[in-house]
Amino acid sequence: MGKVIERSKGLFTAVLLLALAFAVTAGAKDKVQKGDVVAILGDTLAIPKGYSAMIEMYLLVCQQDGPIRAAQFCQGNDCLKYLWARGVQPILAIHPTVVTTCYGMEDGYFLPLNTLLPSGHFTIYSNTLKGVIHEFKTNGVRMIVVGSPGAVKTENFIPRYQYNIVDYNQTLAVFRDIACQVAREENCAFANVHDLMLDVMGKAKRKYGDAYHVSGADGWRPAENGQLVMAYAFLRAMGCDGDIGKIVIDLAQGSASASGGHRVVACSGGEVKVESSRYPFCFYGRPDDPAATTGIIEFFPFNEDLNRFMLVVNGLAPSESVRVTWGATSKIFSAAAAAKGINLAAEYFNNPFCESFKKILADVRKKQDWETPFYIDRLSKLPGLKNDVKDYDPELAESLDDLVPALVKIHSRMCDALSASVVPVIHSIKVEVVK
Amino acid sequence: MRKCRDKSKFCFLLSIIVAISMPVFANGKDGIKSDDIVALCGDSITENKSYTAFIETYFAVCHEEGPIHTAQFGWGGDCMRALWGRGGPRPILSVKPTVVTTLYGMNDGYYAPLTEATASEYRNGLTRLVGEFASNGVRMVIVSSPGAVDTKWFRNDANKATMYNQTLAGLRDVAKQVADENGCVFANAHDLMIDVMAKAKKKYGDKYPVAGTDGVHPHANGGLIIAYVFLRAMGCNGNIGAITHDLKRGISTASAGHKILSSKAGEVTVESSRYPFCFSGKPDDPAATSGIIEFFPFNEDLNRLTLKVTGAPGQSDTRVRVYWGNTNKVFSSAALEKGVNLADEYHDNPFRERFAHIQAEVLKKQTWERLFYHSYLSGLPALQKEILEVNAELADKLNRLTPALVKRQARCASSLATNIVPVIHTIRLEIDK
Repeated sequence: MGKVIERSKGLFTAVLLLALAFAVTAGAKDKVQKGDVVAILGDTLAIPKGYSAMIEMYLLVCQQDGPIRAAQFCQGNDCLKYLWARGVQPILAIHPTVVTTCYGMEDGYFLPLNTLLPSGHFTIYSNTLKGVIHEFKTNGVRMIVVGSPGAVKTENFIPRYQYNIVDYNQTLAVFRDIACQVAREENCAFANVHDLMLDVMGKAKRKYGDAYHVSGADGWRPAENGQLVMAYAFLRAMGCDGDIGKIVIDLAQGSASASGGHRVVACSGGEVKVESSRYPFCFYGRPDDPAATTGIIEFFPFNEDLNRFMLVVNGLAPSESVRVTWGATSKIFSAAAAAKGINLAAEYFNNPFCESFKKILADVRKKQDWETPFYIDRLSKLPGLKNDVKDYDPELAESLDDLVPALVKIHSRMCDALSASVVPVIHSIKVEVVK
Repeated sequence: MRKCRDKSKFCFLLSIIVAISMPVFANGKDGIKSDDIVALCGDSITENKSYTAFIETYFAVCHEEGPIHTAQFGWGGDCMRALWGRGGPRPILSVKPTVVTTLYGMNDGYYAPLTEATASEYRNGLTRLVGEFASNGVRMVIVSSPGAVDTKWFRNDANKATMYNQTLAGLRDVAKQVADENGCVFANAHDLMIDVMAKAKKKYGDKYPVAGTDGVHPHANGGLIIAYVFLRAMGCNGNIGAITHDLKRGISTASAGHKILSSKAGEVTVESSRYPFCFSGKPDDPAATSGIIEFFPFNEDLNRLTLKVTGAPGQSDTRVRVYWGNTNKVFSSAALEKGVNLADEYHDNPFRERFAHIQAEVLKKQTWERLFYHSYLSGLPALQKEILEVNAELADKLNRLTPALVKRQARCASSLATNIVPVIHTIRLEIDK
């Protein structure tokens, strides 16, 4: 009897522990929320501050619970094995509650699948990913988004180590599957960057020609276009709902209303002046330029899923149309389309938010540029530095512990300054009936 | 007449001013001394630790004054603009080097045809760098030309390789001019790489890379060429040692760095604290050093461990089989009387294992030095400035970081010496019938 009770107790404890383990990290249904601190982890692909800056930008100016604090912890030529060897302690210094990971591109050493399979690399990837997740879970991280690696374009992918051009995507697909499986097992969200990149790549090349690269000029490090694809995959996996705001104009009544971070300042004669503290995500560049974001968004539902800044015009006769002027651009919409809602973010690339957006994005990139040595040269190297000087100046070695709070304080100030730089944009929308 | 005298006075004054403004460095003939501190500076080719590890290993075990305190200061992508952009050579000077080698130019050419602006930027930066070393106690500066790019692998385009080697040749001339004008020693890595590359490709095929498979970063083979150029420029005389053996009387002698432990007719056992430089790998592998040395006089100039044998019976064509380690070779008694370079003839020799061990230790040390140079010393001013905003006391304490780290570097260098143990080896000789 005693034995049965003991066994029941044991089972109960095990179930409780298991439940706790699942509770500390929410699954795919969880989402980023007010007060979160997001740590974006990755390899060389994040070094140009592309997708990581776009994610931070979105959380800063677009997200309804924003501004949400974010920081990138990316290292060139990184892979999970190296991350695991460095440990997650440097990342925990900023007390993240949400972590995104994007590894695999360099975990495969650019080797073909048949060469890599017997080497045990995939097991290492799987085990280290699990280890990293457990470390974060036990250190207060609520939500983890496990990203698959991106994709390469073999035609212009320059292979290393003198190997012939191989379809490295086969290797990356295996890492994708492992990332997906681990995410499921560990109750994390999963961002399938790989499949989306391949899908978008096919479509974009059909439109712009094969010279238009999505995985970068070197075939593996995407320019802005591919970085936006990556950002989309992560933002979706973080549960961002894409509701930027809604402005409703009733032409018959001459009234207007706004919701979610927007306030009507004035309304008269079909023109409404709005003060917006939330921005639509803005795009830039010539569509056929891979360094632009304007040309790629038609191939994946960025605006539908993440960037809905809706204008609804009521009070029109069904046969009427409206000319909507926003910033320097005018467009004509049918009454039905206007009543259903026009997504200003998708229709007006050149809009009154572009200038502020560009400036803040540049500031985000500047901050993320600072975060590279913050992570790589300072936080990550601190234990080694302490060890290196302890025999020669023990007191100094002890004092080096104070570097972490001091550096985190500097980082925190930067985040505050960035949030403070997000000032409301006042803009006018003019709606004219077209007979 | 008066005018003429004035002109002479002016010329005399000018020559004094030029002489004063020109840094006075020792030349290569002065050689490296046991108390020198050698800083090896350059770009990613230096940071890759190939030629730098060869130089430091040479200084540790081959050089008559060794082991010599050495440090590697390579920075990937570095060029004059970048070096001065981050404040110049202050971090390098923290180890108080007395000898400095520089290998820049590969990135200074911007991988494009040479322009006057490019050459001028390189010239000005290099002149300023040499001046900075002169005013900070460096007694000898070896300015090298950049190396060369691989004629096959650079951008996978022979035309581009030709174009860029022309640029590098132009920068070679600039480096020589800077060296000459500033009393430095000039090392011509470019010409030797071009020459050796052509010869090696002729033997091993065009695909055999001498400047690396990316066409820029040499593997061990190209690294050895660069090491050779610097070691020669630093005045290393290549005299590793000489062992003599009288076959008739069984008497042996050894020069400095080597001690005869026992000797009888046909067999001598030696304890050597100086090693020959050892080579490794399959000759046709670019990661090996064994296949490249036949194309330049490394062994003749830098690696002479000579065995001289007298007293062989018979005529000068008597064949004597010499056993050393796992290898044996047959030489004529005339050749042995003249002297055989064991380092050249016996790649697989009794020093090989210890040499590889020391080289691995050097690589470990130089790997740490990357951290020392990049993350610690170079990042310190910016770190201090930032910390000052939030913790002034800590920022002040960080002033103690450089001295502590320099001590740590010095200990790395000295602990390398503790790894160097004498090698006991036996040479056996038999008359080959």
